This record gives sequence, C-alpha cells and structure tokens, in this order.
Amino acid sequence: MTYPEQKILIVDDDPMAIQSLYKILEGLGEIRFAISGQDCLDSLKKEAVDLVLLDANMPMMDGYSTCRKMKREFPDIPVMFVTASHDPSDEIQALEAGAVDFITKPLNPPVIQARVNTQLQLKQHGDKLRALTKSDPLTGIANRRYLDEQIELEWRRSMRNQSVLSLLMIDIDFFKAYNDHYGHIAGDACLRKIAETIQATVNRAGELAARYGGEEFAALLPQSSPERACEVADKICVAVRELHIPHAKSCISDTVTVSIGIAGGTPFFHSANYVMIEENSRDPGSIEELFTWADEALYKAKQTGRNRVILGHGGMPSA
Amino acid sequence: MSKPIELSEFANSTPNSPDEFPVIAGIDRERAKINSCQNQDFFLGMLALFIAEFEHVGETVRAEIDRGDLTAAKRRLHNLRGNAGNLGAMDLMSSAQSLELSIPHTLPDLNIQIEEVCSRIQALVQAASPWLSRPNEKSTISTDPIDAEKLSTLREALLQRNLLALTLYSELEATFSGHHNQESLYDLEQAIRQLRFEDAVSWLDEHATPTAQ
Repeated sequence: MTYPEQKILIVDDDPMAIQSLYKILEGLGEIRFAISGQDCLDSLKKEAVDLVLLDANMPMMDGYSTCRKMKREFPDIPVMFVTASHDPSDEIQALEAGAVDFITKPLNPPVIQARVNTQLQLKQHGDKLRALTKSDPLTGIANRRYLDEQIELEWRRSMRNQSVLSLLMIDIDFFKAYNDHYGHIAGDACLRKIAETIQATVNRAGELAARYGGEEFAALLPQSSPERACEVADKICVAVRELHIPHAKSCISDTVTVSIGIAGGTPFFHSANYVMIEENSRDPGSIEELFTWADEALYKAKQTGRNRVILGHGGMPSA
Repeated sequence: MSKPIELSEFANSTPNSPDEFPVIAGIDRERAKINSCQNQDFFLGMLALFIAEFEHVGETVRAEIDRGDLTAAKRRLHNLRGNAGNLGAMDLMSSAQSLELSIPHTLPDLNIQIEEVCSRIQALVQAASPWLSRPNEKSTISTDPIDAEKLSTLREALLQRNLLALTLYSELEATFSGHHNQESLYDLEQAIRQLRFEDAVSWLDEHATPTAQ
C-alpha cells in the first residue's frame, strides 16, 4: 500500500528561518509555509497537513496562541515548536499548548530530521487508526459513527452559511429474503457491491456515503439542492440495477434493487432569544428531524412499490 | 563575553577554490557546513539574506528601544540570534542573545552591547563580501529553451506556497539568466528568496513565457 507524500507546514515570520528548515527537511515530504499564526490557521482551513513546525516568537499571534487555536480546530495535526529560546518555561508553555516536541536553534539537521520523521510516522499510524474507527469493516465505506460526526459538522456549517444540505436514506429491497435464500456470505458480497456503487456515485468533495446499519445506507450531500439530491438518488437506483445481482426472492424484480428516501433543506435556528430567520416548515430544525424526514420518505418509497426514489418533507424548494 | 574579531582572521576570509565551502571570519565553518547540509549555494544565499536583513540592525534596535517598543526589539534580536546560529556565526549569536536578554534595561546601559552586535555584523559583512554574488555576476547562463513543464510546475508551487519552488527556481535559474535581463531577474530572485511568492508569480506572468523546444 502506498501513501501520498506527507505535508509539512513551516510557520515563521522570518523567511530565513523557513528556508533553513526547508533545506534540512527537503525530501521528507511536501513542505509549505505560512508567515504568521493567522496565516497558518487560514492555510489549514484550506488544506490539512501532517505536521506543523511552529515558531514561538511571532508578532500579533505568537506560537503558543496559534498552537492552542490549532489544537481546538485541528486536534489531529501534530505541532513541533522551533525556537531560539532555551528557556524551560517556554518549553513547558509549548507542551501545555499541545505541542508534541520543542526544538531549539541553532538547528541540528540530523536531529531535526529524525524528530520530524518520528512525528510523521506517528501521524501516519494515527491516521490509519482514525480511518479504521471511521470505516465500516465489511464494506470499507464510512460507518455510522463517522456519518454522525460529519452530519454534525455539516449541519453547523449549513446553519452558519444558510446553505442547503440533503440526506439520502437507502435500503436494499427484500434483503432479508436475499440473505435467507443466498446465505450470509453472498449477502455480505451484495452489501459490498452496493456500498461500492453508492460511494462511486456520491463523489463530490464533501459528500459522504456511509453504512447506516444492516442493509441500510446513507448519503450526506452538503450544499446540494433537492434537484441534485434526486439526481444522485436516481443514479444510485440505476447503478444498482445495472449491477444485475440476481435476486430470486424479490417481489418486484429479478435483480437487487434499492429504495431511497430524501430529505433536505436549510437548517434554521431554534432560539428563545433571537428570531434569526422566519421558521419555514419545509426546512429542518434539527438533525433528528432531517433523519426522521428521510426515513419517512424511505418508508413511503417502500410502501409505494420499492425500487424508487421519494423526495420527502423538506425536499421542496422554499416558497 | 568573547574577544573582539581580530584582524588576522580576515586574512583567511578570501574565497579559496570555488568548490570548497567558504571560510569566513566569524563563522564556524564546520557548523555552517552541517547546518546548511553541505550546500555552499544555499549557505551563501542565506548569508546574503542575513546581511540584507540585519546589516543595520543596531540602528533599528536602538530606534525601537528609544520609542519604547521593547517587544519589537526583542523579537528582532531573537530572529537575529536564531539565524546567526543557523549560519554558524556563534559569537554573533551569543552577543545578540545577551542583548536580547538585557532588553528590559534602557538605552545607556545597552549601548555597549548594541555596539558589540554592530561590530560583529560589520566584521561579518566585510569578511563575507568576497563571497556574495551580485545580480550581474551569475556564474551559469544557459540559452537552452525554458522548459514549459518546469515553468508551469514552478508557478504552481509558488501559488501553493510550496517550498519546492526554491529548488525548482534553482534548476531554472541558468535558463532564466539566458533569456532575461539580469536586473529584472534580480527582482524575481529576491521575491523568491524573501518568500514573496505572490510577487514571484506576478513576475512570471509578466515576463516568463516558455521558449520553443
């Protein structure tokens, strides 16, 4: 298994210090720079990195404040301080702010290379473990826990930006009958193929396909209109049919099919103190409501014949 | 406190054979070699940047202390000592550190220490001057066509603030020299060395087009 080149961000207000470090670290990864604490945070919002080398002494926002803010927003990115200070109290301050290491100048290239390598390896192992906790072991796509985490994040983002988000609940039709007839090994293979198909269709940046449980899947589509959600759902239905997985016990088709319920809208604020936006009954007020609406739509898809997409409550554009 | 620079040291400060790592008074050569990964061009580039940045640091620090901006003065000296250490200018590093740590004191008390930092820097400037190239003294010029793919990669790296741009620029420098006015190219070099990558992209957009292969 090969991994993409790891990314290192050097943060220092001094161009010379950045270049000295670059020369030492050249070849260890893709190395970028930021020239202030704020620049570092802005850069990380655009693109995550695997390691940050942070100067302690910078104007405006010093390294310690930058590190604390980073750890709140990007807790998984390790931070190493690089500083001319040899004061133990500075080192303690850095470690308390969340740093994993504290390197003093003048720089000793072999020592720095070894320390950076260690942190990059730890990050890679950590990433692998994090990936395992996020993925469903059978299908390899995101698991429910990760879906819950992501939907929280996207919900907050949609609320902040007042942008629309959509949720698809996907269920394999007559899957219990399939399992009973073909056995669990074939059932697992079927789940894997369906998961792969859903993931291949839900492919825009920020979109997420997840196994929700049993034979049920979910797709989270941030910044997606009901029209786009319907389009994706239709594609999934077609793609699953085109897998031509035989299903002798299905009452509606010779092959495996799925039913999909869609819910979506722009999250609105519930607050006793503010009336930020006039409540629109077609927009969801909570994540639970979004799930409920998607489930209701899925139920309707099942009730009305399966192998179809139903755009549910919250799916219609606001008046 | 270490002794002042002796004149005898300057005798060793002239360039020797071009493939040897520089011997410059005030710089611990072995340490400089290790710190710059034995890369003479990189070391000299850093030294040039260092001198450009800190040659007049005494006046600046004095002015900052004078107007009560002790934080700025301390930060400047902090950067000075870090960079001096990376270059192997260990005595200068120590002097800068002593001054930085004495900063809560005010000017009359600090004058001796400021003078010491200034004299060490001036000695370094003199000792380094034979080694530092000027824009019209590029050693390598190539009239080969500018590689379109490399140029595009350099531009992309600059836009992403990817420090690979420094390496890519070094690789293209000789070809750029063969196709561009040296004074103008100096602007690009400075933009890249000072990590003003946005300015470097503007320069490329204005001046650099790939030449026919």
